[in-house]
Amino acid sequence: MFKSNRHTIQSASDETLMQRLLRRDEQAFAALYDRYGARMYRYFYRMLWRDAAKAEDFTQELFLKLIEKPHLFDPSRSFRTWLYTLAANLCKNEYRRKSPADLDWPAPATDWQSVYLPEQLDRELFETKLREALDGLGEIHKQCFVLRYQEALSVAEIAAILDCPEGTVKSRLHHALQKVAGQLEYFKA
Amino acid sequence: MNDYIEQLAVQKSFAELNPDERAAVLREMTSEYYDQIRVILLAAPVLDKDQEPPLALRQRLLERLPARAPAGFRQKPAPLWAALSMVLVAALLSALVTAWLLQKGPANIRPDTAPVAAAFRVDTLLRVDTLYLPRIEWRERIVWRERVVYRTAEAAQPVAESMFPPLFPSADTTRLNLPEQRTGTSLANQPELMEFFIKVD
Repeated sequence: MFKSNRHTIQSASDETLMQRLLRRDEQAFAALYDRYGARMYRYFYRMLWRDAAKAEDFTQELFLKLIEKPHLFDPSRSFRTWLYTLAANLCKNEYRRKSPADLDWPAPATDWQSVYLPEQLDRELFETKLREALDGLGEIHKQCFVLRYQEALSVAEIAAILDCPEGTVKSRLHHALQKVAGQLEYFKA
Repeated sequence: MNDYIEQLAVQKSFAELNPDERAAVLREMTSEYYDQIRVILLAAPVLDKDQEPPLALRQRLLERLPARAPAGFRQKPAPLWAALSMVLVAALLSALVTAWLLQKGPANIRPDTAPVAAAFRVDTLLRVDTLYLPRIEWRERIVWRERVVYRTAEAAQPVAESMFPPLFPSADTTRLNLPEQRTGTSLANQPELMEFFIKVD
């Protein structure tokens, strides 16, 4: 019977698990955490300047919201979209709290003209510079980039999460990509 | 960049595109930019992919679950049979209590403690209060208001002339014929008088 219950939980939809969480079903919460815990942690990690402690705090706060206010979830909506909306709002608050001086584009450590690049792209260097380029994006553009190209959400989902038209999301994505590409110009293949 | 090119960029490099796809890409961007965003789109999803939350976090959250009652927690509604049986039990209990009371009958009342009909007396109490009612008094008052009236120079001229005499004679002013001013006589012409003044005793 236990196995059967476990199997039911594993195959249950997110929305069903939320219904069970309303009845304080511990297994349902554990299943939701297993599905989204790492994912949300990575989302916070990417959004919040790769600060692991902050990502952990925010993940905890997000899932505590699920525990404390499961009734706020509208079963007619997608759970994933709702969860990302909560997470995006938490990030928005953090970006607001952060002083503008902290968000300034970091000064380049070296002169790019003098950097020797082998023909084969140096993956590590590229990834470091890509992270820096993403850090240089403003909150709204970074949200779009992370949700689309790192969390692999659809444009429609992002529009629902950020509560804006799909056209706006596409425009922000275009701008974000252009800016990141501009920062990585020296890595042209 | 449209979705089609985005999909192409994830799948193929510019060199791998067929002529139609190349044409579609070149309508939007250069081949260098296409390959550049291809690298970004491929690298972005795996960036920081190895980041995992600490295991203790899951345990901490699970411990918080039973301790906290959800704010909007609602019980599942009771089934119909349970509701009906509760109503029946309540009705049965009421009937039993009523039957017991009826069976007990009225209490024995001793004649000396029999209740007497209550008499009600109505008193009229007169009280005089002093009430102060605010009264609005309307008074007439005169308000003087002065205001500056701006006139044109032509319109102001006659008013100004009537109020102030002209300071300088105009061309048509007639000259007044005042009597000639009388002058005194010099002491040099009257030696006696001069002597009177200079005479020293």
